[in-house]
Amino acid sequence: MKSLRIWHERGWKKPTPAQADRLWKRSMQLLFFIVFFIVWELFARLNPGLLMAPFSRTVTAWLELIVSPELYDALWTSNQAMLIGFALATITAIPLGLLLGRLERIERFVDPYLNVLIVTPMSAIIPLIIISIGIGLAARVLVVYVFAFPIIVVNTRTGLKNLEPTLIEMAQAFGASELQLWKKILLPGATPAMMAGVRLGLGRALSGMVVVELLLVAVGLGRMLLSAMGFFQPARMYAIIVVIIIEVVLVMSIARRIEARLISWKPRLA
Amino acid sequence: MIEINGCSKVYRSRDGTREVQALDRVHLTIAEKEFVALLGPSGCGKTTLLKIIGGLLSWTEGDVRIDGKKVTGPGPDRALVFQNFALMPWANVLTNVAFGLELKGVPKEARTGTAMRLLEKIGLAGFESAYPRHLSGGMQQRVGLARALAVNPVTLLMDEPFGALDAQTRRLMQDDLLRLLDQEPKTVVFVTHGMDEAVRLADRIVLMSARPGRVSEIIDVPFGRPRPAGYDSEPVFNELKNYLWEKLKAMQTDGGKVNGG
Repeated sequence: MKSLRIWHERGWKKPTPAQADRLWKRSMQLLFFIVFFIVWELFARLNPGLLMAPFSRTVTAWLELIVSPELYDALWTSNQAMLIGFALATITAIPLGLLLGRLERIERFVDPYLNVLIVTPMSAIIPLIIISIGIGLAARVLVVYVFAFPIIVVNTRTGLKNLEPTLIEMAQAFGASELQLWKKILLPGATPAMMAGVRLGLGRALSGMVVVELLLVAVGLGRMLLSAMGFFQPARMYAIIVVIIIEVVLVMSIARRIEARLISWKPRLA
Repeated sequence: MIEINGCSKVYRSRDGTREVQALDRVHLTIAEKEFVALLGPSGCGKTTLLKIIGGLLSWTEGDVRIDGKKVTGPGPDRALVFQNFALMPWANVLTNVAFGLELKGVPKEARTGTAMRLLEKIGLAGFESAYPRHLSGGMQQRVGLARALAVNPVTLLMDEPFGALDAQTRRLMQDDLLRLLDQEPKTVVFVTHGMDEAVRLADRIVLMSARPGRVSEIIDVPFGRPRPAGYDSEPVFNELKNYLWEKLKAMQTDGGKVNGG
């Protein structure tokens, strides 16, 4: 905290405790990053291997990568499957989740399957999908779909089931019809959990997208990654991974923002 | 007039193996504009009875009529006030108060007017765009009360409405409720487990016993409404409270020591 005092003597405004706290956190984060990159650089230089690239070379490779049209073709190919699969998962999972949340009788039958589905590593069923419907876009869409679907169903159902029961009773006491009950109570009440499910589903859809391309259908980003590996271009490989990470972080933060806007009445986003 | 004739209610577990008798042949007649408190230990079925009157629960035996017509479901003549307020957290105060009117299809302008008028009356003017989580418990229940009054019901059904509030707030709310009822008399069925509250508010106190829920005694409160000044320092006020306490205590030791509510 010495640095803060020096600023003060130079005539800077003394930071409030909250500001100082934030500044401290930010500097620690920055410091961590710098240390991380230095360790990476040193480690790679001291252990030269065929598939090891230091930080500096990764940066150059990344700069080359992001101006090449090949990357954007690959991004488009990959995300096409991701978007279609995710959209299909969302529009089928939400109604199913709502149905299960409202009708306990159906839920009792479907629950075991859903529970199995949610803990099954979805990568395991990729070969099954490929032998059933080939290696086209449809197969990739289906993989993304099965990655995203269960979590959205489960979250939507939970959102509906955890709704304060007296709210439903209240609406019925004021004479709400089933349609009004859905519109005024059930849907708004289930929205937070539903949106969280959609966000988690999106994360899973992104993993599904990458996993299928690496494991079986070599197109898009997956193929770029595999070929960089095959040609022993570690820096390029790292650069592609960085691109994937950037996409995921970006997409997820947009999703989070949309979610926060839709449920602004909630005190805090969990 | 609400007529409850030999009303019994049996709850069955889902597989049908266990049965709990919540109400056992309850007889009770509630006159128009009367304030009746249902008082009893947990598990005496007072809330069940209230929900049956509200049309939210069916009964197994007997007859429940309002103005001669059998109760078949909720109706615009009755409005409920809930212990946990039951406000929609995603809607602001105005929308919450206007909710009953909205369901009835009252146009937005008209229902906003009614809601604003009630908010003023109930001391929440200026809070119409606040969200429930920004309000104290007492204020939230004012919203719950305003929502019930907005549909202009004949009967207010109140399920331990002040049970979740601290003692001071509860007293204030009790006084406000009586004041509102002086201005606009309504039939009130008020579930409570507070002896003090029952004596302060009600015209008649229906004392219920538990397992199965029965009417054990109906007591006329010897104070008129509006309550005369200083009524709560008169000896009869405390005598009545003590009497109720002795009765409730006896029920607890009579094997009524079952938990649940």
